[in-house]
Amino acid sequence: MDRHLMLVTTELFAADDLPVERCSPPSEAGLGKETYCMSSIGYVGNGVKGVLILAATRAAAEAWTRAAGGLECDLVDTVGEFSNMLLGRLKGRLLKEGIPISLATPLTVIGDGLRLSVAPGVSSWQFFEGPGWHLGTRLDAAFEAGFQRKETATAPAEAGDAILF
Amino acid sequence: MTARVMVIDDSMLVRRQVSAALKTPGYLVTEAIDGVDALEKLAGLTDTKLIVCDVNMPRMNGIELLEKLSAQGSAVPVVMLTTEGQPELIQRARSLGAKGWIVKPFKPEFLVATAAKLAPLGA
Amino acid sequence: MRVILLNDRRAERDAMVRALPQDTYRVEAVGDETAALAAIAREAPQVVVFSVPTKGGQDLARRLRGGENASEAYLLAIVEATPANKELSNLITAGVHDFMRRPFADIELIERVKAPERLLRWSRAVSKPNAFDFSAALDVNALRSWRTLGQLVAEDLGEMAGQPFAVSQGYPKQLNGTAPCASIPMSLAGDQLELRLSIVADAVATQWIRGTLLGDPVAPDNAVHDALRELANTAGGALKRAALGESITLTTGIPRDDSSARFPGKHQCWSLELEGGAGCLAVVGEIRARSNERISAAQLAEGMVLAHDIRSEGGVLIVPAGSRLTATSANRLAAMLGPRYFLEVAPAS
Repeated sequence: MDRHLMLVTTELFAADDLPVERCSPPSEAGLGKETYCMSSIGYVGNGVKGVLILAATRAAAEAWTRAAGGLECDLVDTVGEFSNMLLGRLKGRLLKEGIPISLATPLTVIGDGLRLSVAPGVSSWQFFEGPGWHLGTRLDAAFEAGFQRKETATAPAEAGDAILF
Repeated sequence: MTARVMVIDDSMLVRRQVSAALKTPGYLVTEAIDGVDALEKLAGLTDTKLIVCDVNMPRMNGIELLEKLSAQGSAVPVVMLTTEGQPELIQRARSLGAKGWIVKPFKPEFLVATAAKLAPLGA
Repeated sequence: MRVILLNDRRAERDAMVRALPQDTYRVEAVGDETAALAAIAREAPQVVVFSVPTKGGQDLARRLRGGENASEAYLLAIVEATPANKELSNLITAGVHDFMRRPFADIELIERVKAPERLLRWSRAVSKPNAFDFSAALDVNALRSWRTLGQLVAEDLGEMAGQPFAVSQGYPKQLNGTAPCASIPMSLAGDQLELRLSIVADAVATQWIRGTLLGDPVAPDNAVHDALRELANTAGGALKRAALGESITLTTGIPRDDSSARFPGKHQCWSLELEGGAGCLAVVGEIRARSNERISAAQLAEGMVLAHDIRSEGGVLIVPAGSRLTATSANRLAAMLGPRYFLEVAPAS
């Protein structure tokens, strides 16, 4: 799951001309005092549930908003939308792994010095840096006992195929 | 000896292509534009030996037509000719009595071979 | 709760007013349509109870529903003891939610007027903005099948045409808004998205369609349009099968002519060149947001796509999510589920 998260984060921002690179935590406390916005989206599947959290600095939110052609007042919407797109891409990858999920709607907050308390050991933060800004992502997933991946569907018939029963 | 085939598709082009493929070896082809039209025409034709039927059509789709034909106790073999390739749909058609499934765009020789197997000329 | 009561039978009207508890309902009783519409315009009612006339009941229902402030009102119709089935279905189509047959007891009137309260509470609860709505945020652009649409379509159309296409990205410069175009809608009802695939033919390709696909260089325009629709259908099939391989199920609609050849949604284009300068087809893939509607089963109609599974009370799957309704299946479901069963659908394209 963590690997997928890293890949979709890199892909998403690259697709919006905002290339990012994985980096070490900018401070001992992750983004620390620079944390300006956070967005969380819950998800649930058969036997799995969790939440995606995206945290970013103010410079990050402003850069994403500019890239999306938005205005200063759109920061909350932009951050929510990016978290939505991130989990949407993750959903596509998880589907191929036989883990279909449904998503909730994002909850986004902005403000100076945001701090988030998360249960230790459930998952871990990944940090990325862009030009002059940082972001952190985290995917918590709780699997129920007996969780099984859905079997990948049989490949569909192709053009020209003729099957007699 | 000839045999009648009914082709059911809302596309005139497909009906034309199927007719051309099957008339060449000697089949007699009747056309219908959807399931409703097909049922009306089948009621008046007792010599239909094969039905080639699209799935996605207005008013009554191919799966619904299969249900109707099955309910009527029809013994005419039905082959679906469609762009759909979903295994669940293929299985559903099979469980309703369809005898074959061809995915468009189709190869004429496959269609002719299918007709020859299910409704041989001269039989 | 505000109730408008329209009944030209005075005695019955007075009895109904007395039957409805005054501490629960604010009833305004009127004897004609004009007074009813005026009452609705003054203050929006939650419920409108009306006596269906011998003729024109459907039109009356429409006018009551169409009145200012009435679009959200619950319509309860009073009909004669043995109304024709067609009359009832016409009234449902016109927006009536429930019926009472004469003669009716006071308790029946009270229970039927209470019903919308439960529906309203439930409706408010599920439409709260911070509720989990599980609408999937599928990123279509992340799908490989979508990103390689031009190539996918070219392969299948090449099979159909009996010759390969040269594929390049971009909309052919020679095509204008009057070029013949056909499109096919493809629904992702659970995601409130619609993909639309369009095929546009330039003048040379249009002649190629006549001469090669149709085998008739002077084939009429309607035959060319039919062929384009089938090309769009084939393109839709190619995308659908490829998307299945990525565990995404698209619901294809019926292809149709698209005279505007305009693409307002976020879209991508490819140019498919035929061999030997035989013209060029454009393939356009568009993504459109499409809000679902919550409707009564009685309002189901051809072309709608179910946004969720329909199951029996025992949980047995009757119709899966993503099914596109035909007239046959819409009528069957409406009869099976009844007018009080509400479901979410993507509207017909």
